Amino acid sequence: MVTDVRMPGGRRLRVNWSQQIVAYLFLLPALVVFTIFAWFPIINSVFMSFQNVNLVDAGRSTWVGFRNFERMFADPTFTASWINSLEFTVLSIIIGFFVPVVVAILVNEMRLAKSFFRVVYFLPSVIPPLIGLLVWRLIYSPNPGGLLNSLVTALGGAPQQWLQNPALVKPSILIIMTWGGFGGTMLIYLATLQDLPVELYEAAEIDGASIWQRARHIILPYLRPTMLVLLIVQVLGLVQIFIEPLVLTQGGPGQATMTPVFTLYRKGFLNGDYGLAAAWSVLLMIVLGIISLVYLRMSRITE
Amino acid sequence: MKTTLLLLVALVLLAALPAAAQTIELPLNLPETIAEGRPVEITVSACIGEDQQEQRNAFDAQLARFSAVYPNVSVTRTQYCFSPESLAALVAGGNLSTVFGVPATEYRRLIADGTALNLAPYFEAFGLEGVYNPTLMALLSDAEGNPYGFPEFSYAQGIGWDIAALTEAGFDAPPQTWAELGEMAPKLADPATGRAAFAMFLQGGAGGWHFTNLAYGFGATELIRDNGDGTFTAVYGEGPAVEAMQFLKDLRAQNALPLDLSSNPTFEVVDGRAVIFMSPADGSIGWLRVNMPDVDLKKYGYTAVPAAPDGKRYTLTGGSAQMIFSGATPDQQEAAVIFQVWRTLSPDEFAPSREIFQNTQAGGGTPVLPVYAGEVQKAVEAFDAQFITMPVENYAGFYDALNAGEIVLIPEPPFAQDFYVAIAEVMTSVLTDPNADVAALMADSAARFQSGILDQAAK
Repeated sequence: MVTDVRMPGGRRLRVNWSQQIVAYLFLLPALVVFTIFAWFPIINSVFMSFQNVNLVDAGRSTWVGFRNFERMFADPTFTASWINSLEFTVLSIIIGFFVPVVVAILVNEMRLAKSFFRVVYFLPSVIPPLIGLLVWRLIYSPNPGGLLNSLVTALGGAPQQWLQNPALVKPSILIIMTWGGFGGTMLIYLATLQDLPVELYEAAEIDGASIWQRARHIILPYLRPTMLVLLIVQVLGLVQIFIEPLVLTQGGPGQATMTPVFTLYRKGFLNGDYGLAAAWSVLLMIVLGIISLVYLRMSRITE
Repeated sequence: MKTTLLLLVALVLLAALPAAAQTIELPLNLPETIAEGRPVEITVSACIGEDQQEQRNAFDAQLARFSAVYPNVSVTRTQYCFSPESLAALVAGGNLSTVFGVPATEYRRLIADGTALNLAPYFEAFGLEGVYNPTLMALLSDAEGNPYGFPEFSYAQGIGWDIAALTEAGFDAPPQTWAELGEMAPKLADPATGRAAFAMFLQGGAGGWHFTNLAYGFGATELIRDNGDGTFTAVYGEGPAVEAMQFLKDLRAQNALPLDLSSNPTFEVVDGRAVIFMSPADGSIGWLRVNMPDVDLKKYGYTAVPAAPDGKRYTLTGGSAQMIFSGATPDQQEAAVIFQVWRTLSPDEFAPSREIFQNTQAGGGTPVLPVYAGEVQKAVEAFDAQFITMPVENYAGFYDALNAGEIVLIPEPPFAQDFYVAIAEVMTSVLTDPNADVAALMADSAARFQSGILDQAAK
């Protein structure tokens, strides 16, 4: 069977389905897996957000309308969780966003041992997050003999309560996240820089441009589209902060590190209030969906 | 104290005897056949590590003996350590083990949502009424008194201490009241070395749970009031709960609490960073016995939680129970119940089951609460005496309080998990801000809890 398919831009493409069917058959297993493990849970969680959920017998779940959403908006942790997400995002852009860019530029400039430093900077990314967090808990120990506090004291400073002080806890967590994530991001920037026209770079060097001038006038403009996309990816990750408060702070001190996913986890798995947890997840899905749309638009711009 | 010494002497003598009481005699009415002989397959969860092959073999051997008694029943061990995350998936998928272990914090939820099977018909049919500690059965029952689980062990909150450090500070006994601890704290703490006087869980759900014990120790009788008409009132914003929070703030001001809010109180004492810890015995000294056998337990004492103004030692309780999955078929349910009763209380299996129990954190002489009642409990204590390896003489204070009826179990407050988190938020604020206004923070938390959680639930 042959049909005409309208392509973007109004162009028409003649498609022979008897030939195409093989390609779709190859896609079928992935579609089935996605349907079972991604789409079905997503749709089901939307249904659950309007229910008082009974896991033993789904037939005994009752419809409660928007009740779970009302409870979510009234919850004492709701506002704090989302404000914390916003603060984490802003702080992350300030603290962590430019670190992989700078490191990628520096590694790219190296003439010796480039591979060695690529591996060194990427190593934190291969450490399991839980193990990394337990090590960082030791580093951030508030005791005078704690690792970081010993260093601070040796430099003439006063010991700090890194994870116990509401003013320090968010930057402290973001340093951990930056440490754990910048290696992978740096590799993406490095890969992008491999496509940078060599003659452009060499011309700048011959003209006596310093590393700062080369970075400002050649590298950064070249990396800008990639940076935009990775910024959105970073925001997507930050909205879903979970394991750091779970392992390090339990959402404290006060509500300083309470996040939507951490609260969702508590409501669902500790309280067994699956309908309320589903309402939280639906709202999270909407927020992430909006950010993803921005991401897709950015991706198209970079193409 | 005299009673306790006599009890300890008796325990030591029993331990020296070649297993005096090896079995138990109960008027159990277990049937000779299950499910009228139809083939039945059940699964039994067990949390035994891969490196504990001996325990696994012992467990599997018991399953095989059950199948030998009831040939139509096939029993399989499933490796499962309870976690709320996996439980939800297993229940939703209908894959939960037919017999599964549950910590006490989950009893209410699993009874309310129908995951646990109502055992009332079986208790009546098999003559189990009155066998278990009624206080524990109250936690495992619904409002009508129907039982939903078989208690395995239960603990009370208590305090442990480094005997040498306490003595060096000039004290020969642990504090009997919280006020006394407050007076001792400045002498126990050593800011020069960073050693705290007292350690307890200070953040998250565990912190809230521990604070609840503290609040009752200051005289609280309720923190969330059940008005009986479907509404609830947060009453922790004033009174003893505020005093308890102020107590913590004062300890912090004296450098008498650990700086690290995430620290484990037992480790703080074992590592020399604190002198006294508050923690249930199974999760502290019992945990050390099983997981860190090199730690010399003779260096530590353990007693009941300090007394409230009325002389009682109020404590939340925890522990674990075995429940039967209500999603199982009727034949599986019957087989599962009979298996659970058979393995713990039948004359032939009593001894091997108690031996398996000794490998847990609650075994080996850990000071925990009695699981059974009357003659059954006496038989259990007599049998267990031969397995005591812990320095039980250091726990005399706990047994004194228990025998004197001073230990009073308190129920978890309504909306417990939300409450624990809410109170832990206040606690971490108070402990990290020297200028925190305790009364204002507590009042604000109670007001927000009222409008955000309790009023919403009442609608």
